Amino acid sequence: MAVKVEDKSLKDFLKAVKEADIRRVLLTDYATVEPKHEGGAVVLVGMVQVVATALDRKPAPKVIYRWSEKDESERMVTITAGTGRGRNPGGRLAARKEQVFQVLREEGLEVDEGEWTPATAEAYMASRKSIVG
Amino acid sequence: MMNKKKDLFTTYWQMRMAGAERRMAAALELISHKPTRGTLAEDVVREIIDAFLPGQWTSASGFIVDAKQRPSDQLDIIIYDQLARTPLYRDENVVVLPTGTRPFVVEVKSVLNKVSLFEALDNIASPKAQEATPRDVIGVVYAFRGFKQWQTLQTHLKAHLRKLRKKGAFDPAHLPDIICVQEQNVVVVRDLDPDFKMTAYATKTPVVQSLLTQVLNGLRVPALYSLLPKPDYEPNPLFSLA
Repeated sequence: MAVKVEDKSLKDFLKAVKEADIRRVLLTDYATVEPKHEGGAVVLVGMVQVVATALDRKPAPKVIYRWSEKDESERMVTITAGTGRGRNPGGRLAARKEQVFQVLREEGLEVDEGEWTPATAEAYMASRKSIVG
Repeated sequence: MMNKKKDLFTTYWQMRMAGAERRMAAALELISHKPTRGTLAEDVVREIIDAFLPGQWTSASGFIVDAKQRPSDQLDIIIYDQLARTPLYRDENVVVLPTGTRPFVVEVKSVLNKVSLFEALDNIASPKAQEATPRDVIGVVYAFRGFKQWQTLQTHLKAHLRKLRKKGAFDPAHLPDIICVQEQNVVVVRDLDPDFKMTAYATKTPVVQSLLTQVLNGLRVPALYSLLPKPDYEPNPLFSLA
């Protein structure tokens, strides 16, 4: 079972999700390091990539709509006072991820942690078939 | 006023970093004379990382098991969020964690040679392969010594990638995020986006800075990470593999 991945801008991602009548989106973030040119030097900087994906299981082949944004951590992440409650119990909040989360929720979408990839989509479709038929 | 305060913390953390560098240099001195002291190497790296971790995180050695109870290879250092995730069980300093905990793992080698490099690459690939999204596990290889010529590291890495491709087992997300060789001042950084590549740099600053940058960024502690000095590299990469 082939699964196609379509990269989109956030605006087009929301449009595709709406048109396909998808109600669940997976949202995650990954931290990496990258050497960057700063002036005449190369320095290692921390990066964060925020990724939103939605699985459209109706068409053949199935499609994963994907939006992602990557930038330096210092611009993507902030720290807020921890309350020990809620979605970020440690009080550390990926600011950009939280903003995207709010946009997705405001669109009426259900948002879970994670990312759809061809492998996870195929595993899910196989397990769905065994349960639902 | 704010800038003055920020300067105070920057100076404080620069001095802490200098302390970490001296500790690693002292350990290298011992390891150079007793190259079999693998546990010393692990203990020192864990101690250095622990000193920079906010209390939310903790480290141990151990295993990660998947839903079918299949364990990963034994991992020298696993850093995990102890407030959000509970180990399945713990015995002294060995923990067993389930998949899905988004851990940070470090494979420590006192001396890196062909055999120990391949072993370290396999050990890092092991917990990554267990996850639905391998990027949820950040993996680092930290070696105190090894490969006097960087070309030897390049040759062995190239051979490893070729072997994986031949077996049909090549997944760039299963490779270490960075490989550090302290004595040679070499750091290899893996990039997945937009395309896979592994690029090696000669560092101008001690290699432990790259390790701590990766750890603190990986654990999403940018407020601390931004106070640390940024690891500085020679502008021209030593080599790049794709």
